[in-house]
Amino acid sequence: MTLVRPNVAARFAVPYQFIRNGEPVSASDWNRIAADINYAAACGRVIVPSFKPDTELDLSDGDYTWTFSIWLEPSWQAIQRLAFTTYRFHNATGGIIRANGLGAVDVLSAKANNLQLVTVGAQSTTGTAVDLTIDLTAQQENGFCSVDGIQIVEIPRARLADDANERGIDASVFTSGQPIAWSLGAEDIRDATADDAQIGRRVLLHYAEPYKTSRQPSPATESGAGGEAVTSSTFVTVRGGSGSPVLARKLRTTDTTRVVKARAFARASSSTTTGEVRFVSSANGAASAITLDGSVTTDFAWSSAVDLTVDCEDLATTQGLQGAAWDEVSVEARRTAGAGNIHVCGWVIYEAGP
Amino acid sequence: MSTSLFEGLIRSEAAQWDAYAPADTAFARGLASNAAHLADSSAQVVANWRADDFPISRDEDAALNDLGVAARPYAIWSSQLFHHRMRPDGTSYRIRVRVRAATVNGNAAVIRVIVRGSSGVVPNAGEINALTYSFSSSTPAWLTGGTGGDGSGNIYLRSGSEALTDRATLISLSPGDTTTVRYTASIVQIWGVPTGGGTGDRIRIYGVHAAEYIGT
Repeated sequence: MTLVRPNVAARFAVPYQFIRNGEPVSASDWNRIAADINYAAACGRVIVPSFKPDTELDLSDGDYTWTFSIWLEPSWQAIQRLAFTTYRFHNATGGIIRANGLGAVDVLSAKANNLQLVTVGAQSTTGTAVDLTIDLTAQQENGFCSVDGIQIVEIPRARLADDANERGIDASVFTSGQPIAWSLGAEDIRDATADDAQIGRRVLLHYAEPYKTSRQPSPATESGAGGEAVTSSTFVTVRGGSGSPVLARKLRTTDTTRVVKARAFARASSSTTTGEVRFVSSANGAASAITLDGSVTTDFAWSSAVDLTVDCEDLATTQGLQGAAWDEVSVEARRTAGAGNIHVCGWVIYEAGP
Repeated sequence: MSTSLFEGLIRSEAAQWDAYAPADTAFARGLASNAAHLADSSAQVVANWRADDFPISRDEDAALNDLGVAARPYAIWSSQLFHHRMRPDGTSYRIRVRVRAATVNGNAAVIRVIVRGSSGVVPNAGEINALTYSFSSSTPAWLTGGTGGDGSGNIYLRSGSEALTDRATLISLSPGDTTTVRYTASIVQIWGVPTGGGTGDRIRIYGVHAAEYIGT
């Protein structure tokens, strides 16, 4: 295994003009082709696009922990991530709040930022849920905290292994004056690009709000009350879920849509309550329903993934839109049986991995 | 500016090739196009949210003039740093942006959506990395008619120099040696200011969409 050093500062131009019928393709041109793949593989992805929870978190005297469930769809190449949270405090009396070890924060200041560097335990492309917590201490009455942004990005790689997982292309096999054989370079490039379901796949939308609140000295851990409670028997739009722009990658030349995956973080309030969550694309009218069965989902849990058809980019248009119109996905829920509620506390839409 | 020949991946069957068969020119062009499309379409979504019930407002931070309105634009919302992809021509991938906003009382306001490198300055209206929207409606809506940027609703960096930084990272999980990697760190921000001159004018941000795009 060779460790390839990709250039993650800029791409190279692919030299089509030098790849002509009847003439050999030079090693330096093969090098540039390999460099583009190494660039894409090493850049790191935004695995949680920045989002603002559509809620405010009430404060009074005490220590708080709010817990968000985040769905991560990692890249195999990524070995470190950065998680950011940004939040603000408001109150009527100008008290003091301490947050995440930042010391005393004047509540009138704009925001507090928190940054966490995470080294992954093992490389993977398998999606998983993790908890993200915000801890703070409040020392006044009648205040509230609003989270302005949660965002998680993968750090670019300085070196890539030239294997089937990390997809680094070892350009040293492209030697001037030597023919390029299938097994010496071309196969790696073909494999990296043939049906790409890994490099550069997108997380299109992620939303979460606290599903668990702990407050001290009040001893209770409030669990399961987060998210919007839906009792309607017809589909209603869930908080924060009314039409967010979604545009997937274009895989094939003639593609206008792409099938992506969607999951919901939800629960039914009792074992006799059932319901559904669905995702609706404004451009494609596609609705994929996730059934919530109270007998197994009275605790918050991420659902299995369902297919959702959304627009993909049109690379010939100025903003990449199909037909100059934004495809907006809405998240809706309803109760189908029982007397309780359906709580929806988060969702994610992403391009499937390998 | 799609850099591929076909704006999509071309499939090929691995089984049709012998180990030491030479790669012909047509196959090389296909692989070159695939590599370019892979890099083009690796663009990422930077921000995507909508908050109909609890929008963002920074009115408590505004530098108020004697009319009680903000005298100059102030930052309302910001993404955090992301690794901004760079095109072969040295400019950044475009950022396709969309902002959902309203005023509280129907008076005029201006919003500026910007992208800047970690060491870059806040751009003025009309620059390629700033889109400016003038609006007044008190009904939340995705804003249209932005001016500036690339003229098509996108913003970008003229070069990566203002975003480039070296960041410590691991070479691999095993054995875990450290090194540095070039990191083109950018942020997307929303700045705004009420311009109607009314006391109590406020801007509310109800949604932001920002995504990298190779551009046309």
